[in-house]
Amino acid sequence: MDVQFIDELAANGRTPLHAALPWAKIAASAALLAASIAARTPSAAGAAAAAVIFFASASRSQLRHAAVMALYPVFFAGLFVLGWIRSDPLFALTVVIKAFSTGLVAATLITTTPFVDIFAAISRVTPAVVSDALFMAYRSFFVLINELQDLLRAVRLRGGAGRGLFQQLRTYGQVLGVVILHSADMTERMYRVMVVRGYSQRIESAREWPPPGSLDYLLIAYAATVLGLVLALG
Amino acid sequence: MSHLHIPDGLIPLPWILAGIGLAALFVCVALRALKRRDRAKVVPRIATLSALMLLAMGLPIPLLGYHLNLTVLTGMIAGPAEGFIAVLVVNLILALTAHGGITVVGLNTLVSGLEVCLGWLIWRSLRQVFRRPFAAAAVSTVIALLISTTAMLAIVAGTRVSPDLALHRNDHAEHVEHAESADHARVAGSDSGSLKAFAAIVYSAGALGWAVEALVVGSAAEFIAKSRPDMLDPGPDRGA
Repeated sequence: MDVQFIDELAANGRTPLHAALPWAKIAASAALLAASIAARTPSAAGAAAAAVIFFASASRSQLRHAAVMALYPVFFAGLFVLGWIRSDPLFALTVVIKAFSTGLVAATLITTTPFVDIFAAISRVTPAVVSDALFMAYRSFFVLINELQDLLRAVRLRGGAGRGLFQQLRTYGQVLGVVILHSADMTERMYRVMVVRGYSQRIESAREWPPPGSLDYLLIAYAATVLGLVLALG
Repeated sequence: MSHLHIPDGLIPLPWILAGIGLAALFVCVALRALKRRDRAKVVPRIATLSALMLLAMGLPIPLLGYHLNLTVLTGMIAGPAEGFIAVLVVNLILALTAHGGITVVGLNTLVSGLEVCLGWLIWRSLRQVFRRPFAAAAVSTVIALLISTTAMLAIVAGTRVSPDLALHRNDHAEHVEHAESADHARVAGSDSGSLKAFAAIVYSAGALGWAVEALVVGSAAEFIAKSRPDMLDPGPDRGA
């Protein structure tokens, strides 16, 4: 899972899905997720998966990245249905298809919508501490990942990574220890900045979205139709 | 393997709702415990710990595609209240990246939260028993991950859905009553066989993963204990 790469895809992509409003994509994704979950027959699961692939194909070349991300839940679904492959292959197939389509919905949303926009939506339903921590965790991640990469590079260049797996893991632990110590200093700095800025129990999101266009309505109508069809198929 | 990677669409709705409800309840308890502390201090701490967990997950481990969690270390550093909120933040981000289902965020948070709480609790007890922080942290990690993996398996066992129910084939079964009992026995047998296979994979791959995690957490704890022992000191305000 490469948060940095996902963020780059979401922020720099120029596809129809990137152009759609975040709330429209979130609503359409929720409907497609519900359709994928509600599918109870192999044919319904297949139809939902086809509809999700069509939706994801609007992200053009990014579809392959999203599809690779969606393989992760497929792997775990495969483990889960291992015992059913012989006794009930249709059930096993349905579970695997559902895992792929739900994974692809999430992956498409996150590779076409910046994290901050999604967090703004999540913050409407979570306590202030959780939503503020989400925003700040995201920011901290990018500060700390640079430090971690620099440290690991320096250790490797000086031959400190060790030859065997045991030594390599011990080095990882020590490098993480250094990053944790630095993160404690970073926490102190963040605290001082928040006090100076007059933190008042919640970080307000200043996101203002333009009025919805035809593409946004089209996305929602498409996803709602898919959900209706899957529910009708059973 | 401590993380519940069950995808969306398999866990029945009552379990999903129970998971979300219980996780929300524990978040409320955690927020209540943190109420007296300065929020401007608490939020950055939770945020950096969440970021550290995400960072650790990205470290390349050349072993079965395993990734680190650092949930136990988070519990040791932050205590159960801040730690529980930090794992909720991490699970929300993970669900968005298709790493664990969106609908199972509640259950995921409960399992990871259990690791945080156990990590904090066991570390506090073992710190006095073992002279070296490495040993105390490594043993805490293994015990916490063993228990959380068992909890994850218990959830999977409790939420097992019968293929016949999931695929809506019960209507046909009603018309073949004489075959019903044999069919149920087949499903139950297959269900228990599948769970056994799943448990065998999870425990065998998990044991390797616990060793990896224990080694990294032990080394990190030893380093921190040398440089900033106060960070791992189970002081009174970390009991929240």
